[in-house]
Amino acid sequence: MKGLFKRGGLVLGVAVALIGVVGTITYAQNVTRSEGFALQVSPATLVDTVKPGQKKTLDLRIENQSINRETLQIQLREFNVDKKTGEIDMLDTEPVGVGEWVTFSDPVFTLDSGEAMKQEISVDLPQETGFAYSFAVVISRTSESVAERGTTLSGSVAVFALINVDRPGATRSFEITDVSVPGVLEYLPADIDITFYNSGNTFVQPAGNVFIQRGSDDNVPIATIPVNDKKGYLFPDTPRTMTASWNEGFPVYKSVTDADGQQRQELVWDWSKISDFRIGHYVAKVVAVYDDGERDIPVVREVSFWVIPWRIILFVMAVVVVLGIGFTTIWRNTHGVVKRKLKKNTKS
Amino acid sequence: MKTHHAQHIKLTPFAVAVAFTFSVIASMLLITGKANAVALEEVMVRFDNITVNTATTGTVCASTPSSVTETEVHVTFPTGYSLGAAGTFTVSTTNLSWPSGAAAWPGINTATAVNSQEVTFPSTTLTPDTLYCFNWTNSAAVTTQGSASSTNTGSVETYIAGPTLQDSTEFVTQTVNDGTIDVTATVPQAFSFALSANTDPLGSLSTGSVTESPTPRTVTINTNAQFGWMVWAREDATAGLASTSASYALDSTAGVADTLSPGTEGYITGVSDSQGGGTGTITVAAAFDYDGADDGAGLDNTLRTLASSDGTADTAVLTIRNQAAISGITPAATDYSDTITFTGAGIF
Repeated sequence: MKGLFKRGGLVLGVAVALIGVVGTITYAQNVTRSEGFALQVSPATLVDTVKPGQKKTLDLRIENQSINRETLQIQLREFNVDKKTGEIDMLDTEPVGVGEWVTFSDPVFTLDSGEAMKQEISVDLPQETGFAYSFAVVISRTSESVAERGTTLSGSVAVFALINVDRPGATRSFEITDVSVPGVLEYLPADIDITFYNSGNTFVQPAGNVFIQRGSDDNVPIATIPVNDKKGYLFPDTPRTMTASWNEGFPVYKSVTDADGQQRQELVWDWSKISDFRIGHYVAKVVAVYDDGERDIPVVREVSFWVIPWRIILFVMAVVVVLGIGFTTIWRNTHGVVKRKLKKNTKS
Repeated sequence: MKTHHAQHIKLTPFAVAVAFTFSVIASMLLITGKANAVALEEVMVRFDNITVNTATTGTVCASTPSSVTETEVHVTFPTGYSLGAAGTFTVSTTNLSWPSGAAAWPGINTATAVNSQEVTFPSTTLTPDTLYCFNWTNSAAVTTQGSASSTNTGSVETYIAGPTLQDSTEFVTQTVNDGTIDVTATVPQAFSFALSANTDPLGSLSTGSVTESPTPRTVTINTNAQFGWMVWAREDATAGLASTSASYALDSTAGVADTLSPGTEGYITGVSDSQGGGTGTITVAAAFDYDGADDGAGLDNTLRTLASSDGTADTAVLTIRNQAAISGITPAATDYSDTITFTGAGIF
């Protein structure tokens, strides 16, 4: 019995060792260490709501994914969102005043290859504040060994921070300024572009659905798709266009990556989804919702479009014409033979 | 036969007259029956939470054109909404962001009956053309339906003693699958950025050819950030590929597309892209887009967008090609150098 336990322990030990080795190999396969600068940060964006006078800590995990030991620094940086294009302009300047109430647990830190750390970002808003703040924290090397000849390449990673301030006067609201979709499509997807305008003074995350239906007042939609499935944010006093895609069709265009790593659209014929064949007039009714702090506020807007699979229609018409000609020819020939035989029989 | 025909002709005007009389009487009866059931001037039934299958409080508002003595108000909730017992329909007349000018509903109190979807509340006389509101304050009273829809129809009706229907109007509300989310939590997304090496030696430049990075360096992005990522680049404070000893710099206009030619001075950065997988489509900024013909754009010490993507990325690779060309009068030196900083971030 004792021997059995011993043998069992040995087997267990080997198994644990094997699992450890396999686990290590798997991990090593997942993370390819770079010879240059390589960092992973999580979360990719810091979002929170804070109250004036209340200290809050946001955690940022930073992992060194290079083969080198790195001495890094974390700094505040400013960025702007273009009010027309929505593009983000990163600036190399510190945001005015933010440094007085945002501090880092480790402004300078060292990470060995593969090592991760938790950076605590303290937000300690004064009593007199605005309603929403946005800034970036940028992690870079403290110093770069500059090559005497040629080009030195330096890397850095930015993490955007969106801070809503929960104080009297903070308002959440948005409008839908436009809903657009190509008027006529041959096949799905139908990409419904919804342009929001944040008319409040805090960051807002639109929710809700786009209802695809035949008529405006249908109470059972053909399809229900999320308005903001990517969970994006609207900046105060700024428009932003989000796209809701209706892709339950047959056939349907799908994005595929070719061998060169380039993306292209490919028409996919999944016969199990033949019931999703789309043709005719449709209405995309957007019901976007925000919480104004007391209740859901729905904002409704709609647009109509056509799906006309004209190549399929032409093909079906061509088949019908060919079949029609074929049947006519067969009928004429058969009818002619019968007629001739009847004539012959009558004569004889 | 002739007689029958004559009788038929004689009977026809009589039949027409009788039919006309009956139709007039029937119309009058119908009109009389609905004489008082005119539409309420303004009706609003607002649900505080419109997410499917959610218990909710809400507000009812209406304005009547009739000068009568109302005794009840009936609210018929849309089919599919679950209602509690009459006793759960407790009410308040606190102004919870009611429409401008609305007054407390006179005589309103806890519901007295729930029949199918119809809830009966007591009421007293309503002044014509005045908007009255009340709130049902117990979320146990109403639970939204289980399916999302843009058109859920109900009605509000006022009754006089009898009870006899006085005024009636339908309302429409919505339910959504993807309800509102408070901006309170960090999004657990990760962003990783890897620069393949920290140097890009261009070697000796010659007037006979454009010199390009012998081993182009790469920036590799992996992220589950749903809105994608951006990469910016900037040079150090000294513009271009500069020599301290010669006090000279090779440079091209920042952010402007350029194609280098042998014998003509210039220094540009070109970017090409590929991606292993992910939902994002990479867009290289037009000026920096490298198509294999010694092209790209100059940089300066302002962060300029090199590339962006609109979705997740599995091994999204930007290949960076720094290119330089000299002329016959470019000062000779061995210390032509530059530092380029690349910054990457996940988008919110």
